[in-house]
Amino acid sequence: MEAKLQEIERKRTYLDEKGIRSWLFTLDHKRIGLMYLFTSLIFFLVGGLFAIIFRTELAFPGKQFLSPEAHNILFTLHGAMLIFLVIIPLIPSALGNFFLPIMIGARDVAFPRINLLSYWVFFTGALLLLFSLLFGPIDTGWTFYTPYSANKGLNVFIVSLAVFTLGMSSILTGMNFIVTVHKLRAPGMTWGKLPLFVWALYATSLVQLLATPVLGITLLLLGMENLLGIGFFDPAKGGDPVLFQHLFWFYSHPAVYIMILPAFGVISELVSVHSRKPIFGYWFIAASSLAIAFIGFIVWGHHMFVAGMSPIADIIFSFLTYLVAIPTAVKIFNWTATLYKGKISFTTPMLYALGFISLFLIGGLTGLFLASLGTDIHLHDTYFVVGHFHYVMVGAAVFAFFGGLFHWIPKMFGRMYNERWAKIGWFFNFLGFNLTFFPHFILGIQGMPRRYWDYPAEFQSLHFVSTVGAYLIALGALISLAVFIHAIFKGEKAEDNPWGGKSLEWTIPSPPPTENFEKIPVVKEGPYDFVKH
Amino acid sequence: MWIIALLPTRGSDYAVKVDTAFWITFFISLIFFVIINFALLVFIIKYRRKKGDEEPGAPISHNTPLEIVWTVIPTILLFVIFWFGYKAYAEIKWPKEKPKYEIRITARQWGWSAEYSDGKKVITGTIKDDRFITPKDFQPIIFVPAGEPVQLILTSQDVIHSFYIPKFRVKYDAVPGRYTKIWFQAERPGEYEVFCTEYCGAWHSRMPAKVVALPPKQFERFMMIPAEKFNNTLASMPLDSIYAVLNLSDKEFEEWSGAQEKLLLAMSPADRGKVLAQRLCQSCHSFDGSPGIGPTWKGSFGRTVELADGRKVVADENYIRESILQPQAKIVKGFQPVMPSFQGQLTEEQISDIIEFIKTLK
Repeated sequence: MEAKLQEIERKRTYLDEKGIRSWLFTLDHKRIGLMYLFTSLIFFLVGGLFAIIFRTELAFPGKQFLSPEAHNILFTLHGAMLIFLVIIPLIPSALGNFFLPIMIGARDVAFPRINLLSYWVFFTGALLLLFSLLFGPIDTGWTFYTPYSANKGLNVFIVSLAVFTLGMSSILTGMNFIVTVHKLRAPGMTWGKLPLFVWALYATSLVQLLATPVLGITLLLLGMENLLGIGFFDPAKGGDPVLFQHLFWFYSHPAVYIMILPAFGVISELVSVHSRKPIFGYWFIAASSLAIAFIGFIVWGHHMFVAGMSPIADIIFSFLTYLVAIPTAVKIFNWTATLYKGKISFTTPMLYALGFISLFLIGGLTGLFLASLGTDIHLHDTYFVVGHFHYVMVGAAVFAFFGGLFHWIPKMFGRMYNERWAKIGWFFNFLGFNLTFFPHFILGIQGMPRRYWDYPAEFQSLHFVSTVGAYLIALGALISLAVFIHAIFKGEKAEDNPWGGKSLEWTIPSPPPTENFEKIPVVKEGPYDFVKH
Repeated sequence: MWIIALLPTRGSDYAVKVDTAFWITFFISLIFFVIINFALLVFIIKYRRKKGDEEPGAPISHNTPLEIVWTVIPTILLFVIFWFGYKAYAEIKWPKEKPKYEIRITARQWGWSAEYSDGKKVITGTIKDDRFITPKDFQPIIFVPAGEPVQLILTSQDVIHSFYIPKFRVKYDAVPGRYTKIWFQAERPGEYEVFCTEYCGAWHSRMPAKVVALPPKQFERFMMIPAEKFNNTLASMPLDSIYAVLNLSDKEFEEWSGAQEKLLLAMSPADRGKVLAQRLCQSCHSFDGSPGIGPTWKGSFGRTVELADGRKVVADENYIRESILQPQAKIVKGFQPVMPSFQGQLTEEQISDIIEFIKTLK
């Protein structure tokens, strides 16, 4: 009797338990992952909608329908939401929470309660951000540069509190992942057998843990300046506005790697599994994640080449920035080489991976112009930077997220998505993305400054193309999300291992049982050991 | 040919080095872009999985010599890119000869003011309307001699702005509470757009200005005009009129100076105030009673106004003067404290001219 009950219990999947409480108070890393996923996707739609609105305004020079104030609020909220509520948590907190424990052969993360806490801290931060709108939406840009942001009052204070809170969540998740990777690996799961997604999440967690406190301190100071009028950053009160930039970028540059390293991890999985070939240069890729994480800490000054730093600092920061480019280039070569003599399937995840490589390549190469002292002075704060940033954050990070999402939908929900419509969604995303952001490079080179509500007529045609592209992205994103929702409810039943993957998540049923593994596995093979039948 | 025209037409000598660095980075990037995309394309065509083929791909897991090669070669190329970037920067940062002309630029929300060592002052305003900016909206902010180095000393009176001249490939932040310096050398006489490139609030995109590079002869004449005369007449005139004066023959110029003297004498303070106010004040304060960002000037002089804190004051000379220099001190009820201070940008005479003009708006 006892044995039989256990048998039934084991067959249950993590999705079986019903009721809202079973979600809100769950300690299951998979459910927490899904809560992050859906929360972030909602903000993804909202932040995207803001972009559509101000891109429509910018399609033609002169005022169309937005006042400059409204335009500035929209681009600020677009940036703040998509960075702090979407791109930072999207891969690590959603996909990472779901798959990190499974991929290392564990039943959960090391601290399941802290994991739930970090979701609710995150949710509180998101609510605070929305709450701040009641006090007048902020228009400071997501960078909050002082002294513009130093005398705004309550709304900036609440937003700093919101981002501070989101940072707490980020720190907790990072800490949890680090301990999990160190302590809960299954027997035989040596560091050399860790899937590269896990390596990437590990490197990301280190950055989250070490960099986020600095953002917290910075925003606390900014909040106090706004609430209590203490002069940290406003020279009128005896503060230093450039100090804010140092503190802000000390976090926010590493934060770029918080956003992109997990994407690298996803791509390593996709490229290998969908071409049925071992990843090329496992150790180079794993080591380059760590190298990027560490060098990422010492390059923040490249955001400030025209801010009034000493020339020596400018030169050193430029030089160090090129050091980050080396491990990044190595990764691109390795992914490309993985395809050599592979058996490549053109699945949706593979299309996203290929899209990622070519878009990230452009994002990376345009970074070289911005790291270069002479050319940065011309391109700084122009549309070139906007283009570069979006190629990395959307072309790379968001594409990797979509690739990972489609790759793991069958595992997460036990159902298959519609391959044809998913590919159509990919096509509009890829085309729309390039149409929107490639013109940004040309605009920037020609001297079009960023964060402009209006521009001289000579820039019009490229702005128009960019707006058309934005509509195509909206179409592609909506199709992709519709395919996702359709798969969850109406998708065909998926096999346990539809792609022939070798990492541990493909050895368990789809959707996974609550405890992931009936028996903790003993790992003998590496995650990319594809063998002949 | 379009590729050559990618960068804005170059307006200065040292910009050559920036352009060189740009094109070197561009071609190195292009090579990598082509190699990777070509490899991707070949691989996905050649190694696509046939239907029903369940075999794995070739078990190639790494190739250390190859990986070392493709680490070392990019590293060398990256240092090349760094080096050219550094050379261009050194050129921009440290002028070869000490610039003879120094101009102080003060940024504000939302406009620029320039002051020359002899006291000449030029100030630009905000273009606040719904139509798009045209070349005419770029107001002259600094006059420089073509072919000679010029040093700018930047600061800001409120938030951070950034002074960007695309055709000179030069840009630097104007930071409140400190001075930053840039120099440039305009190769040819001409007009060069200036944009603000650090986000500074609502009208960030509407503080367009331009650098006017003059031939030596005209610049000499520009320097000959006494500051007081310039500030009261030419500084507020359209650029065409300034060119016309600078292009006069010596004799005509003398005549003009004389006439100008008379004209200046003939111009009432209120007339001079009007010229100034049309450019600096009218975007917020209407002259005809229509509503605006700030209170209308029509009939405002001598009237008792209620302040935001409930006090009542009479809008007399002292009140207007204080409002120009310390706009936040007394805010009229129903308006936002958004006016920038004009402290240090207007002379005492100009302030009283504006007051005289307001008096005429009954």
